[in-house]
Parts: sequence; C-alpha cells; structure tokens
Amino acid sequence: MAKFGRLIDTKRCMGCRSCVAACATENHFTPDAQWNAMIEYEVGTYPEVSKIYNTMNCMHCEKPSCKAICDKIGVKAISKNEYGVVLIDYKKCIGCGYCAAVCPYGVPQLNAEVKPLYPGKGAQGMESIAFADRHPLHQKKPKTAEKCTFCWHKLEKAIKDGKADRIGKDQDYTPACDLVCPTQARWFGDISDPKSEISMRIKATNAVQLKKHFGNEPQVYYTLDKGAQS
Amino acid sequence: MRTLITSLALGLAVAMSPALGADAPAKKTSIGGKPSMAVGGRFHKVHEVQGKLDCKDCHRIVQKDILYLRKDDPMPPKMAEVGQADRKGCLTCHVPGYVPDGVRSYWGV
Repeated sequence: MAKFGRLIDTKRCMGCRSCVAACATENHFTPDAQWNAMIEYEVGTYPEVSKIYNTMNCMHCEKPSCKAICDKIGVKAISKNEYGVVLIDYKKCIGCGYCAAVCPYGVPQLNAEVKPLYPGKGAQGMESIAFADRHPLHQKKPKTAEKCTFCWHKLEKAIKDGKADRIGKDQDYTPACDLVCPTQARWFGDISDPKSEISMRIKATNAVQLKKHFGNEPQVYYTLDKGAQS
Repeated sequence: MRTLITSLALGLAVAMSPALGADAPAKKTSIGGKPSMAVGGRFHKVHEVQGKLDCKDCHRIVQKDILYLRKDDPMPPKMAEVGQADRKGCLTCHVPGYVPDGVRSYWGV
C-alpha cells in the first residue's frame, strides 16, 4: 500500500505563495482557517543574512497528536487512512479545538465562520457547487476543525480510476499546492517506495522532518536551506 | 523472643503508616463538562486544577503582566494577546513513559 508524503525544498522556495493561493482556491480555505501557511524568517547576522520561506501544511503524521486527543475524548472525528492521510470528519467534529491545541505544527484550525472566498464577489470556484454535491471534505461547517487533506478528493479519484501511479504526476491526481510551484520546490508521491522520485529526492537532499522531538513522525519532509530551523 | 519480634514488626508498621499513605494514588479531581478550549473550560481545568500549572507555564510569550497594563489595554488580557501555548512546554509532561499523577502521553506513543 502506498503511503503518501511531500517534500518541500526550502533552498528552492522563493516565498511566492502560489501554493497557498492554489490551496485556497482548491479547498476554499479562508484567512481565519488556513490550510497552508507561509512562514518566513531571517537567519544569519549582517552582512550575511538570508530569508527562509517555509510553507506549513498538515504533516499527516504517523502518530498524529490530533487523532490521539480526539480519540481520547471519545469524539473520534479524526482518522488516518491506509494511505497515511489524516482526515477530519466534519459531521463528527464537536468544535472543541483540542486538535488545534495539541498539534505541534499548529495545523488544525477551528473555523468560526465559513466566509466567502472573495467577499462581495459572489460564489467563486468550489463555492459555486451546491453544498450537497461537494466532496465531504469540502462540506464545511462553522465551528468545526479543518486542515490540509493532501487534496484527498484528488488522491481518492486517482485510486478509484486505478491510476494511483499517476499521483504526483497528473494534474487531476496531484495536490493543488504541488502542481503550481514555479520553482519545483514541492514534490508529492509514495514515500514507502524507496525507488519513487520523492523517496530518492528525500535521500539525495538529506531532507528531514520538522520538530522530530515531538515523536509524531511526519510524512512531510523538508530540505533545509542554510540556517533553517528544523 | 517471638513476641518481641512481633511487637517490633507491628510498631514499625504503625510508624510507617503515614509514609505509606503518602504513596497512595492522588485523589481524582472531577473536571466534568464537555471538551472545551475556553478559559475555564475543561482543557484549562485539566491543566490548572489537575496539573497545577500557571498560565505562564504554557503561555510563555505573555509579556503583559497585569501590573503593567495601560488604560487602553483590554482587561483581562485577551487570549489573542496571550497567543498559542509554546508546545515545547507540553513535552515536560507529555513524553512516553512519563505518567505523573494521571497525565497521559499522546506524543510518540
């Protein structure tokens, strides 16, 4: 069984936020509940200074804290499927915010209100689809936790179409953020296959997981630029 | 001789009883209520009442001490100002194999 993961190369990322915009359009996230956020910070001392751009989306951890706490309180709205994707069931979520509090990466967001993507400009993109016709992960509710799904609606389609091998390659089967990167700083694919392109790139670039001391074992890897935090 | 040993053993047991009592499991505190992150809600109660933590133990980036608030500052300081808890602090207790007084680990286990 494939286990999907992502590689983000901070040496190549120039902070353009195309990935953030693509995710906002594809998944209709609003500023109050970002699914993909760009964090930037400066490193070094004058005159040798540089800037690190680090996009943060869900790490789809092997041992997700969000799922553990959700199970612990008996809500069980968060699951990790056989492909390693961590998903939130909006129908089960009670909006307690525990998942947002315990995630070491600050990923789950409690969306107080489902706002329009472009206020005052009518329905845009996914908003124009009738609520009942949307993918369950796009049937958002107020006061519900949300987060990056690895564009599961696309991965699911690839699996149903028998084209799982095209994930990370074809537009219809690849997460929106990974498609649009103009500097090829993002790679998506099967990290359980040592011969996959992403696995080889992780190895070749000595990519690491962030905040390993939390023990969550993220499935998102980062190639770190000089001075970048891990 | 047997009587003397029995008496000594009984005496020792009586003398040790307060110390043995101190090792007994801590009394459970009912925190009740449905899961909530609100100030005074269940999550905060667990950490304040059971964990005996101060706000600043988790919210380390708090700069505005109540004594230094100015007239235009919100009273009490809003959570938005307090900000997210520093999650590194969570690992003080929530680590595999360390279970003090009912604190459960959910990271790395």
